[in-house]
Amino acid sequence: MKRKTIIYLLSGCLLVLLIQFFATKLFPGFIGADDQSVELIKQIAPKYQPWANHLLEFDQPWAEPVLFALQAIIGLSVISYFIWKQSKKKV
Amino acid sequence: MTKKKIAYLGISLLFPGVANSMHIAEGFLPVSWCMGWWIVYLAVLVAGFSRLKTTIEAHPNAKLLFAAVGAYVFILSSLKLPSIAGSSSHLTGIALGALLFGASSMSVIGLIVLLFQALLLAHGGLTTLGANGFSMAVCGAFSAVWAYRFLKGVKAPQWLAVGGASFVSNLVIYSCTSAQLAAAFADSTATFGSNLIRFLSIFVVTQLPLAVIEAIFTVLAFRYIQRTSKAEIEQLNPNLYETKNNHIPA
Repeated sequence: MKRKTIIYLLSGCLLVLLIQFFATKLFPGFIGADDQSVELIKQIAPKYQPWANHLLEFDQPWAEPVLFALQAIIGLSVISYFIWKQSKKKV
Repeated sequence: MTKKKIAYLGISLLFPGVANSMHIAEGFLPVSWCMGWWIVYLAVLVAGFSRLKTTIEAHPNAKLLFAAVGAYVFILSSLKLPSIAGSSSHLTGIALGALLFGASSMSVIGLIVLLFQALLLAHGGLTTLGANGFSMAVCGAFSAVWAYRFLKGVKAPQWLAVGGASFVSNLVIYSCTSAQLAAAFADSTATFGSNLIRFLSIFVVTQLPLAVIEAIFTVLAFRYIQRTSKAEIEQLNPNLYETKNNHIPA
């Protein structure tokens, strides 16, 4: 892989991490539609008790954006590799 | 890498927000419904694996393209975007792969993405994975293919057919989630119809502008793939290059 491609890839990863962090601060009041649906379930069926819990939960507030950024970075890495292979193919 | 290619990468990163749970949370679906949706999803998953195996064996060159459409779902589903009315939600990215590899193949991608989020990110859940997989990777994928077929049938240009398929797919996914929750929590005091309206008012209203954004991303990604992977697309689905639509995998 060319040095330039690696720099672009690392910059992309850094950008994802930065944007995820800043978005947390910029839109703090925006409630997720999924969270709203959980609230609605509690209204419709107030006696319903969730019968399962997540196997792994992180208490730290920074963990969630970092892990989702990790997901984006994995995807970004594969797409970067795909684009690199396609550009190599054309040469 | 050219500037244009970097722009394609960068454009998918322009509007992200804080990611949160995808679809139905862990434990928030009664046991019988969880089992039912798991059985339905597993049936499609078996068909999807089989179809994908056949496709990859016949066209080994398409492996990387499949990884790329999977990665596209990975990126888009990790981004939670602010929407109207102070709410936020996800893009899904299912339509792109459904058009290229067939709808049932996307059940495999759906499993990978939802497992990753359920196990590592504590979003969605293992118990609700069947329901979430069915809405995202089955309803979303099939609706994309059918919408594309319909739009090509009425002589829509390809960019509109691809964008329309993505738009419809996104809305269908969240409508399906609304229907799943409405059915699971319907009783004598809260009917299916009234529940459905309440869940749709949360999901679909939030999802409308996001579906437009996803359609734009999908058209851009599709055009890039069409330009750079012509040989693979011609092997997988030659009619994606033609104006008439005789065969779209489903």
